[in-house]
Amino acid sequence: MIKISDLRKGIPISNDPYGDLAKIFSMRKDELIKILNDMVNKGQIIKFRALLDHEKLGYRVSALIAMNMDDENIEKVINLAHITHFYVREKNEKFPYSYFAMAHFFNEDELKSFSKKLDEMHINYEILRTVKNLKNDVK
Amino acid sequence: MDEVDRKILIYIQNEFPIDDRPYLKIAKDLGLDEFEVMNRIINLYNLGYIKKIIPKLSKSYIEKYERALVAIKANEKDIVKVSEFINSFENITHNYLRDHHYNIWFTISGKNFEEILKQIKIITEKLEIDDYIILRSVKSLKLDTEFEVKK
Repeated sequence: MIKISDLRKGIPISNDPYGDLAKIFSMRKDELIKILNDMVNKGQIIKFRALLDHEKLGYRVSALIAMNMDDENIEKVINLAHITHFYVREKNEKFPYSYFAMAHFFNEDELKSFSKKLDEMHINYEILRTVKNLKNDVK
Repeated sequence: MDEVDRKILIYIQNEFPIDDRPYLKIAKDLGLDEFEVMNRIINLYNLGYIKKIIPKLSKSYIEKYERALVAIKANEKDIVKVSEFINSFENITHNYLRDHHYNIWFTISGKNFEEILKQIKIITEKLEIDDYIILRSVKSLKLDTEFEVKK
């Protein structure tokens, strides 16, 4: 039995990723590949993919954007470029926003034109810039 | 990073094949050599361009868990100590320092909301933090961590 939480630690990036992963689970490589394919077929996972380091790729500005907006704007905002995550959250009276997005930009100008788009849609928002990632992913 | 590296990053950011020889599959699709793809991927990992290779989770798996975004106000001088304690819990997924009255923002997941509240209580009591907010997640409408890989 392989747990999704174990796979989320990442598969070894080596000469033989699935062979080395099979060793971790004490099974044969062909058994592991069969299990992983079964997990995909059952819809437990969609696929494997690489998570890239956005800072390394040149993204210099990241921010959490807290927003309130009319329902008709939700779809438009979700589809804006730069947004990677979008959550609806229960409103807290000490920080009364319902929608939260993570957005990444190559530079300040991109953030500026992004805010301009939100202004044009008359969205009430607050930009909380990322100063530092406090939880660096362990390799 | 050259044009070949760029092609490989774009490819594996979308999908890393589940295959007996994943590098061969990528090489065939990109018109490259298996050995070259392997060396380049290992090199891009060592250089820090690739953080890890992980499963893209299904909606049903994501929705099985309760999630919350928590913001706390910590003293500037305590940031390292506070964030290290928060990170010591396994179900903390992200943790960021932000330019705001609440300066530390982290996400937490759990089987149910009571479990999350209990853990936040442990964290805030231990760190003696009384100014904090809990933003319970209702639903996720976008989760797309594909980035643009520029030339």
